This record gives sequence, C-alpha cells and structure tokens, in this order.
Amino acid sequence: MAASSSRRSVLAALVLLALIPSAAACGGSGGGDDGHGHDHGAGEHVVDGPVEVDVRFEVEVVDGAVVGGVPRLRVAVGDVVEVAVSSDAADQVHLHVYDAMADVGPGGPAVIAVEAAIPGVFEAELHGSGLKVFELLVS
Amino acid sequence: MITLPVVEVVLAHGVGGRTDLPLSAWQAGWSAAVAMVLSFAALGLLWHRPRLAALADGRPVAGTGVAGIGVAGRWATSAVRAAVLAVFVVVVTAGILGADDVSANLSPVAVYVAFWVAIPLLSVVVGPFWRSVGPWDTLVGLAARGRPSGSAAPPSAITGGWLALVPVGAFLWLELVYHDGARPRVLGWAGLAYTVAVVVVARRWGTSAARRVEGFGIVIDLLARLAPVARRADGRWGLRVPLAGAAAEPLRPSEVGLVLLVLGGTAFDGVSRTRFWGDVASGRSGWDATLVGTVGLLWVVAVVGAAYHLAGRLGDRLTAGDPPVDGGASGGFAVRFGHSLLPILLGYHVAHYFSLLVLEGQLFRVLASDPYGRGWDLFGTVTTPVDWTLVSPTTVGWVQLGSIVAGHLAGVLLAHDRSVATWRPAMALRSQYPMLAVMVAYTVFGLVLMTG
Repeated sequence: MAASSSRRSVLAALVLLALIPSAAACGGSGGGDDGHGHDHGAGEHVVDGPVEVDVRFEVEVVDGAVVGGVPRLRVAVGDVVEVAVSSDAADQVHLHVYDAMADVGPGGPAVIAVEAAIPGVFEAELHGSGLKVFELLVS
Repeated sequence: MITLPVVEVVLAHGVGGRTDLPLSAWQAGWSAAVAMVLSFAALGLLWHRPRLAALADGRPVAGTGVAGIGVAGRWATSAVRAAVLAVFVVVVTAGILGADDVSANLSPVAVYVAFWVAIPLLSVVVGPFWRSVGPWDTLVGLAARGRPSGSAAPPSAITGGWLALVPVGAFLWLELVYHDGARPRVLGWAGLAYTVAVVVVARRWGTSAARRVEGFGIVIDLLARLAPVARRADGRWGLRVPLAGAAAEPLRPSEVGLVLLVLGGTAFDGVSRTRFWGDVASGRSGWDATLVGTVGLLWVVAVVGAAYHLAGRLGDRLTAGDPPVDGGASGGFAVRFGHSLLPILLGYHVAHYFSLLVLEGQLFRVLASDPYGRGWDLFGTVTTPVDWTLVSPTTVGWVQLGSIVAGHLAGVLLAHDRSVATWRPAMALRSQYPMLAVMVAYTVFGLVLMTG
C-alpha cells in the first residue's frame, strides 16, 4: 500500500515537471521561432573587414540547383577563404560550425569569408530552401 | 504577411556540425588487406573447440550479491530510473512544446547523439543497464501492473519480434532520410506516439510482449552482450572476456533482421556522405530529397540484408549433409551465426558516430541548460562554446579504421567459435567460407564508404 502511494507521488511529480514548460510555452508569444542566436557572422573565425584572402571560390545557384553540382572546396588549415554564392532567388547562406551567414538574392551574391581554423568537412546551405550549396573541406 | 519560421536545415544524421574528412585510399586499402589476411589466418590457426560460450558467466565480482548491497543497489537503480524518466519527459516535451529549432532545442541532440550513440556504446562497456533504467521499460512496468489477467495471446507479429523492425526502421528513416527529421516537433510527436504504442501493447498483452515491440531496447541489449560485465546466473555481477556474452545466447530470427536493418541504415549513412550520392541528391531539397533518400535507404538495407541471406543459404547448402551437433536447435545457418554481426554493427556505429558523440555531443551540455529554447540557463552552461577541434580529423580517421577492422575480426572470432561448437573441425572450417565472404564484403564496403 505504502509503496504504491509513493509511486503515485513520484508520478505526480513527473507530471508536474512536464507541465512547467508547457505553462511557459503558453506564456510565450508565438513560440520560439524568431531569432535564436544566429546573428550574421556570429562565429569567431568569421572574417570581417579588409583581410588578405588566400583562396577565393564562386558558387552559382540557378533554379534551385547548384550549377555544376555541389562543389567540395578544399583549403588548408589557416587559409583565409572567401566564397561568393550567387542565386536567382532570395535566401540566406549559412556555413555551419563557422556560423557564417549572409543574404543572397537577385540583388547580389552572398560573400562568406572565414579563417579556416577548424579542420573537417563543413556544409553550407540555403536556410530557406534547405539546398546544400557547397562543402568546405579543411585539412 | 506571414513570417516563415526559420528552421535550422537538416543535415546528415540529424544534427549538423563538423563532418569527418574522407579517409585516404591507402589507409582504407591497407586496413582492408589486414582484415582479410587476419580473417583467413584465423580459419586455420584458431581453436578447434568452442571456448567463448563457457566464459559468458564471467568471474564473480567480490562483494556483489550480498543482501545489503542488493537493497542499496535497488534504491540506486530506482533513483537512476526516475532521473532517466525525468530527462525523457523533458526531451519529449521539449520536442513538442519547445522552440522548433534544431540549434535551440535539447531534443535533436538528445535523440540522435545521447540516445542513439552514447547509450548503445555505454551498454557495450557496462552491460545491459538500459533494461533496468530506460524510460520505456519503466513505463511498460507501470502500465502492465494491475493488468486484467487471462487476456488473449499477443499476435504472432509481436511474439516473433518482427514488429520491432517498424519503429527502428522509422527512426532510421527520420535520422537519415526525412528532410525535417531533426525538427524538434517531429521528434517530440514521434517519441510520444511510440511511447503510447509501447504502453498500449504493455497494457493489452503484458511486459514481455511490449519488450518484443520495443526495438531500440532490443538493439541496445544485443550490443550489451558484447560487454565485459554481466549478471551471472547466481545473481552476482561477473567480469568476463568481451564478446563471450554474444557467444552464449543465440539470436532470434527477428533479432538478426533488426541487426541487419541497423547495419544497413549505418551503411546508408556512409553512402549518403559519398561524392556519388552527392551527385545523385544534388539540387534536390524537401520531399524530393526525401523520396530519393528513401529509395537509397531501402536499397542499401536490401543489399546488406540480401548479402547476409545469401551467405546463409550458401552455408545451409555447404553443411547440408552434416547435421549440427545440437540437431539444428539454433535455427538455420543465417540465424545460427547472426550474433557474429553484433561486433560488425558496433564497429560501423563507432566509425560513423564517434566524432558526432565527441563534437556534437558537447551540445547536450549546452542545451541541457535551456532545453526548451526559452532563454533559460539552468546549469550555467548555455554559453559554453563547443570545441570543434576537441578531436583531430587524423584521430577520428584512425578510430574509424580501427573500429571497422576490430569489429570485423571480432565477428570472425564469434563465427569461428560457433562453427566449431556446431560441426567437426573439417566441416566447421568449410562452413566459414560464406560467412567470411560476407564479412569481408561488409568491411571492404564500409572502408570504401569512408573514403568519401
């Protein structure tokens, strides 16, 4: 008897625990779909301002596809890389981990410049359509 | 004017981040060569009597099994079980109610890194702990309590264990294919739906039926058989040779199917990172990408499964004139050797997800402070930066090669041990040709995938 009532109170506590965030959700205005810490050029290796660029690449998106296929851009660790992405549709280019973001559209290309300090393969995507635009291979 | 929600784009295996560098061809080539030479050497050089199964119980650990420690152990288990259930509730509710953004919600990293990578790997080290503390087992236990007795027997799809392939297959599809598979909402509702289904089965048909449906627990438990720790028959904890536990107990046919399904899923993860797949999927997004990915996943799982099935058929034919010493109680050839796939699955899993665990796994600590994406900072870790250089690509590369080759060799050992337990030496040797062929195929395939 005692065992089952203590079990019930544990359950009640868990249910309570589950309800706290839902109350918070109701209190919020419109959920958390707005900004979430993705400021433009938030990463620490994003190059901002006039710096000598070691490698430059250009990627072109037409009709929702990358011209010539999704390129794998190879650079050496420490290189300053600049990638210009142009697109016929307005969107946002995001290079993961380096957290570089830039707007792209008919008005002009998105220019992303980073210092390739972290080795590995990193993907850049269009935030709106989800299209992968290039891979940055740092080795 | 409606503002579209900004949803983080879904990347390979759910949570985006650093992907591994492709291995060089010479590394992969040498590893494959070493694996092959050692496997064929094993055929002739290894023991001629079964050894592993006898070691499965292990040597008792002093001090366990004493009554006082048993009570303390039960209390500790209950505490851990409650804590795991609480985390589970947070993860599911975060998925359903939290910010619908991969990078601001705890659920994606909890599901794809903590649950699907950390817990299976931990089980391989410390044994079948998940059975005692996992949330579904806890809920199943509660649901089955006070169940009206004498209800009808569960349908054969449940008792045979084949239904367990459905949730695991759906999970792999979400993880590797579905374009919104890392979205917290998707994970939250899927998790809730699965939990409800498991609880309903437990309520209707009882605990053991529910466990046959809970495929994740089965996979985790199967991997735990490789652990150097296990509960002995006398109730005490034992230390044993790794792998021995897998040799002791045969797999059910549905469990072999489950292992092949997960192995195929991991192989597809590798395929989807290759340049070949990059070209196939190029220019596709949304449902278009999902459709192509679904075909790819089905195709790779079918190839992996068919290769093993074929080896099983060949083995059955090779050994047809020579009945096994147990009279065939362990099923056909494919089922009899199913356990030797477990270390191969483990090797693939480590190779593909080691860097995910070490790198993206750091996000768990960050997001635990703000699981719902509401600007909280419960543990003061929300601003802790993720160290994307914690493990170098070179180290990751060697871990990948090491785990695939070691998994392969362990598989060969397990299969060899089972074969000498089943047939006299000459036939045992012959029976291993098809098994070796399929294992070498898996290993070479796995290594080729790693070269990108």
